[in-house]
Amino acid sequence: MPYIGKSPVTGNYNSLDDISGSFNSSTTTFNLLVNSGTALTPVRAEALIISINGVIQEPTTDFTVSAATITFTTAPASTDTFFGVVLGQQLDVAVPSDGTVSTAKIADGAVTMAKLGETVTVAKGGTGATTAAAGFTALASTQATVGDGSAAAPAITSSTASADSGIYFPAADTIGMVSGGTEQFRFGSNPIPGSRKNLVTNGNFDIWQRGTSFSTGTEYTADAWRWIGTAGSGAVSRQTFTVGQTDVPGNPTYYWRATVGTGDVAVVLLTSIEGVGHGAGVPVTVSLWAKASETTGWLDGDSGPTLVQRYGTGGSTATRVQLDGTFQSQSITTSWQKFVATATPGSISGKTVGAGNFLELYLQTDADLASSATLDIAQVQIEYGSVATSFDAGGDIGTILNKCYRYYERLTPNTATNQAIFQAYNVTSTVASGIFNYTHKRVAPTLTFTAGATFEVRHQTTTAVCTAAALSGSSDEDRCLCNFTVSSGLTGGQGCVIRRNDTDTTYIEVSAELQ
Amino acid sequence: MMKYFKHMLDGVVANYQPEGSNTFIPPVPGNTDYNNMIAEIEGGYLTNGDSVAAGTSTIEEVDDTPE
Repeated sequence: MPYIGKSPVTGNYNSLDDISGSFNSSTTTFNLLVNSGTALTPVRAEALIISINGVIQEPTTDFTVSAATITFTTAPASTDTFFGVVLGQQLDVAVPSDGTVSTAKIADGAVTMAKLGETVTVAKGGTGATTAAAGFTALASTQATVGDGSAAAPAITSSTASADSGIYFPAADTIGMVSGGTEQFRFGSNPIPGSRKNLVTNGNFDIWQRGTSFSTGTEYTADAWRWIGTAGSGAVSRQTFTVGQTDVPGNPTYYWRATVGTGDVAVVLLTSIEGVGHGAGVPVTVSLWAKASETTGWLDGDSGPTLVQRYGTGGSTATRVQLDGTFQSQSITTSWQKFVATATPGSISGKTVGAGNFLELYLQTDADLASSATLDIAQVQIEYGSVATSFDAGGDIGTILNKCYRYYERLTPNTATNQAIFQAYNVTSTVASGIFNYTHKRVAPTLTFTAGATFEVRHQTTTAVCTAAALSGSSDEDRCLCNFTVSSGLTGGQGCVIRRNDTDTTYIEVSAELQ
Repeated sequence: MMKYFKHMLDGVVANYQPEGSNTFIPPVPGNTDYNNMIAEIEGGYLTNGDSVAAGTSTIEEVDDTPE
């Protein structure tokens, strides 16, 4: 009988073939057939309507089904009539068309890791592509693969509105952090010690404990920066950037300037990084900004810009690697330019490393600057990896100053009259001694006093100008004993104060420099 | 040629003082000035890698022990 109304889309309604011809009052099991001989396997007995002699048989009571057979409880007689109908049949559910299963059709939490597989590939972020999805934590025991990306199009970004800021993977075992399309920082297989990006202590030339102008040659200038020259070869001075200038990014305050004395000489500047192991066997990148009053260049060869591994007292012979990159391909002009070179200092495996070992950055220009020409240098950085990232001064001024103190410290009383330096006591009628505490030094430091007459001893109501100031005994990393000698007038065993003689420049230098 | 005064105190080396200076160098290996001084006296290499011949500098001992 046809369906009334709209036919079901799925289902399997049919009449069973007549099996009454096999009834014989003894056989109870018969094959179930439809469509004149096609075997039928019903889902269950209740799926069949079976009539014997017009009497509807009760499923599972009057008959059961097994596979494609039906078994009657009582064997039908040869005279019995039969008809049967199958009401429904198991069938395959239709395969959904491509792209038709929506998110709403999937229950929350129904997609398990087993369904995802062991590797999940996330589309690369960046312009015009989907950004990496959140939820990586759900993949704890498996692997998430993200495209490498680039500094301009990071692999992982937070939103399409910031498609040029995020994370990318510039090399094996390396993660780069990008902001505004520029790599700002990277973690590599050689982690930055103590999260220290710039290995140079005073690369921003912020600290100048020794003064702001120099003319002796072969002397420290800005802290950690040693100028190599000869007397009369020129001068070095601290220069101040114009506030808000944009030639050198990051609003640095100062830069280093050498003014050539006699013409046709090179400018040589170096700094030392404590520990010869820094950068050993792995790429490091040196970057700095420079300009000159006339066009010149960096010297080519081993005497030009190099990284020198110095192995300390009794250590192996120094080794050096030249800085090429734009140091050699780019002239120093009258405009600020960034110079970049990547080099790999040698491995220190098998080397003998002695006390006072360090990595040196050695910079030397061509010897062609005319008399009174100037060379300016700013923002020097040495960092791990093969890319010059944005400059990092190494912390705030206080942090950098304390780093500088490890190598050099100058105790300078201010210019106020009779400014006290430290407390002391009178050892005898002519000698006062005081303990000078300073910031912990790399090694027991060298002490240098200005002339004895620049100090005075204040004892009760007596003031005596010193005739000598000297280190008593040795020094250690944290303190030393100083002797101040006067001609007479002190009382042994009583306290006193060592002061600045207000007619002189007075200071005490504490130096534990690496060279 | 540089001369260093070797200041002795109670029989122990207290420090070294370059002649004509008010600078005092502790007798501590690792101190750059000390290492350079020894190189100048005994010959060898300065901390900047330059070689230096023995006898470039000399030492004169001074006993600072109070009487």
